Amino acid sequence: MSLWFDTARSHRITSLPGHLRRRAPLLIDVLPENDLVRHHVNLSRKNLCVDSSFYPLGSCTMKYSSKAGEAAAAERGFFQAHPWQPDTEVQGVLAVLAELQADLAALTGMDAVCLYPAAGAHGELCALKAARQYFRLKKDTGRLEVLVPENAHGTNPASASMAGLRVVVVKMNSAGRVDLPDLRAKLSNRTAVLMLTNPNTLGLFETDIESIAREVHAAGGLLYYDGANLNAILGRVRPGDMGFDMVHVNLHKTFSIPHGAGGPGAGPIGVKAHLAPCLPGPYLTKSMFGHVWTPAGTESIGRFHSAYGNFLNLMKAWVYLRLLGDDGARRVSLAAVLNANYLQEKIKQILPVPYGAGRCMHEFVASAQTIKENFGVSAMDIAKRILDEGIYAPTVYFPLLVREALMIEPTETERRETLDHFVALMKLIVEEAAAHPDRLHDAPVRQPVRRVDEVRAARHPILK
Amino acid sequence: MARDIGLDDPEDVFAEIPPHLRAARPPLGRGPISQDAVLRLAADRAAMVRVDRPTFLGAGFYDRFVPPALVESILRRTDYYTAYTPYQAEASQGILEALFEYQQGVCALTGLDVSNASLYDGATALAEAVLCLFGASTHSSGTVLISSAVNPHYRAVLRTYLSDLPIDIIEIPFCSEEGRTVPESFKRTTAAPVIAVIAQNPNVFGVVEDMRAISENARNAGAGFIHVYEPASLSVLATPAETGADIAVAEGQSLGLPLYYGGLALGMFSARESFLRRLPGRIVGKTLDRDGHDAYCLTLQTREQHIRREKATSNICTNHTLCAIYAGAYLRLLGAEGLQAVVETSAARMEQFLDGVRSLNLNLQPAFTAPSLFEIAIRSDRPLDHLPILPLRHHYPELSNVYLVSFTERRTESDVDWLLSEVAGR
Repeated sequence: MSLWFDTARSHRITSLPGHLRRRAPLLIDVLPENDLVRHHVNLSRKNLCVDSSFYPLGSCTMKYSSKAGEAAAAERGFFQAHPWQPDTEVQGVLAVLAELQADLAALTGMDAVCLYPAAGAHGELCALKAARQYFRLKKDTGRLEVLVPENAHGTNPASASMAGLRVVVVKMNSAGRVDLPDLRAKLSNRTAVLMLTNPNTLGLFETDIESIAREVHAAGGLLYYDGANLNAILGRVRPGDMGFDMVHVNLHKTFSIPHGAGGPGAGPIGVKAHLAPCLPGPYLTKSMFGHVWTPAGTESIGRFHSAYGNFLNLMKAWVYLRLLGDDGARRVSLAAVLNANYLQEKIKQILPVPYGAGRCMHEFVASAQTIKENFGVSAMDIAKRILDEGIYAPTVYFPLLVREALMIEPTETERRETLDHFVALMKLIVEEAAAHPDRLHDAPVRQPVRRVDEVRAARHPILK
Repeated sequence: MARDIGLDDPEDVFAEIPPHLRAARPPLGRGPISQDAVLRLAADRAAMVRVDRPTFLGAGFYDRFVPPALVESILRRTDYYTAYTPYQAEASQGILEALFEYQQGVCALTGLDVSNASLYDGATALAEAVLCLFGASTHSSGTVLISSAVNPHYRAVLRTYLSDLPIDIIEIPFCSEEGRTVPESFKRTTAAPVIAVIAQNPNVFGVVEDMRAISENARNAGAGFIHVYEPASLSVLATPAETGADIAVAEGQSLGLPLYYGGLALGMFSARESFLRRLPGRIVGKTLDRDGHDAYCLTLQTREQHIRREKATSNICTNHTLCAIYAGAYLRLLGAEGLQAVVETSAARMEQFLDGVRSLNLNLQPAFTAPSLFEIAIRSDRPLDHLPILPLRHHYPELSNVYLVSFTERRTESDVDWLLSEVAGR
């Protein structure tokens, strides 16, 4: 075994009284360095990822991330910055954070940005707590309802519950948009917040957004923007200009942080001025000595992270936004939406797209319902078959509004050849579903394992 | 491509966005910058961070040895870091197996039955633990007793998380002489049921708490016990299972993750089996594939937001998978011996420091009498704010001239000599 670090002996531990010390042996299956590296290199190969594969996972914005972010991450000043160093010693870190705050405020049309939330759902909870605090300060404490459209991301209602709020579901209309009469019926002096993503989870722009904002505000409520789908409108229309009071952005989606196999991400929130005092502290301000952390006032909801948020990821988003500039931001949304529409038009000739009559935004939702009825082949079977071609599967069974849903998001970083290849594959698979349905039931056959028995996993949990 | 879908002008693809809503002017007010120039800019920013002297800062984030093997084979491994949450199990077996190993490692460390696949950081993991105990209890309201020697930021985040829920927090003061929390002080003092008792070991002052006794008092108060730990310390200190904890939470950055200004954190969460169906976040299970071969998948998902929505046990979706995979690998690389060496070497440096303080007749005194691990609170007769040690007065006004001096295995003998000479003012 090589020496990891200079070691030294101490009696401090053996002199601790026995009842304070560990009794059970610590059994860890140790591997020498070379075997451990091999083990992880081989494990890492048993995954599809953006750097190896097209990854049209709807609502997840699996775009290619420039390696410049990784290169910047190697800077020793970032790598070794300790969160409790005095502000004067970490001006470079604070400058990055301040510049990112300003950029996100500009892109979302918000007045204040908080970088602490570690993920989108964390941002949702943070913003909902800020909203509750806002109403508490206004002595308007009867507002305990959060309205969410029936096709909302699952995190929206879950975050509302964690903030001690009740969830009221708003219907969608036949055009796949928020049903205005239903919204009107559910708005009241109990309404705290309407959570909305625009474009919504069907990939459609909520064309009535101004009416929606008017109605929510007239009822005394706040309008919340779930930024999971911000990629579609980046640099074109800002949530703040659409009437939203608060927003979270998933830096690991729109702002090109790699997803880390499920995280860490980063989910900063932005708010309009009237909500700014409720944001978690401390706040980053500028003084004659440079950037400083300033304690929050009594109106703040308090702290929200052990330190200051996922700095490594915040820094990568800072790099990305510098690479983009305004031209780049507009190119992102244009290519994302063009790619999705191109793909939608082609896929429509293969599979029904129930809400696909008009233009979609960055994604669309196809349905395998007729294929299921005719050939007994489900959306899940299709997904597994896609994996066998070295392409990750679209999001399946979400949103629930579409039966046998396949939610497809190509992102802006894919070229036409990749999309055409995917279309050809989908055509082949749908033909297969009719001619050889067993091939789909049996899929995958070219992945590290065959179809995984998830029911067994849940019934007989083996977790270690 | 626009023409293929019947558009003359590509911009027409945005036809559904009302024109008057569109951004009037470019929001950022700047053009693109080349990669080369951005990397220069990043280097300039990074150069404005002081890293020219050894740090003795700790309090939750530690300058531990970062094994290059793990940086290369995990943090910078694109096959890991450019994948998404492993929804499609068959095409994500590597991530799932690596997370399973993390769960094994956490259970080995804590002695508890089940671990989730990670949360964001130590503070939010603690908040989730209280929510878990509250959800599992039959009470509709109650109190939480937390030692005031638990990391102040964890307590602050917990206050934020609980502020809209019918749970009151009662802080139990630490003993100002010993620096630890008196176990008997954790008792029910109001009519409200006690949902949770929380203590941290070593506590924020580095002082070793009597977690077994605190746990007993929690039991007597009818409360669940949450044991907040530092992962490496469990190679020598009583495990959460041994102390009788129901849930154990930790910040996992100290398992060899780089500091990144506290921004590459890892929330560790493990519990007794009885809480299995109330755990927050993702869990990986081992199962079989159709051919009967071992396979892994996300499991018990009916707890989770994408299935259960407002009735989910937590809103967690994205977690800290990459950090968890790294931490699991760190445990396998160092093993029990390596972890003990981390603890012992840190302790040896602390002893060298204390010996030096005595032999050099420096006007410093340990602030507390109980034994410490990793870090020690030191009372000084003059300000030492210019040194890389943590003044405690911001969080504990009564400790106005007390500093927390943290030692890791990365601190060398000469680092400690340097600190001593700086304290001496030479």
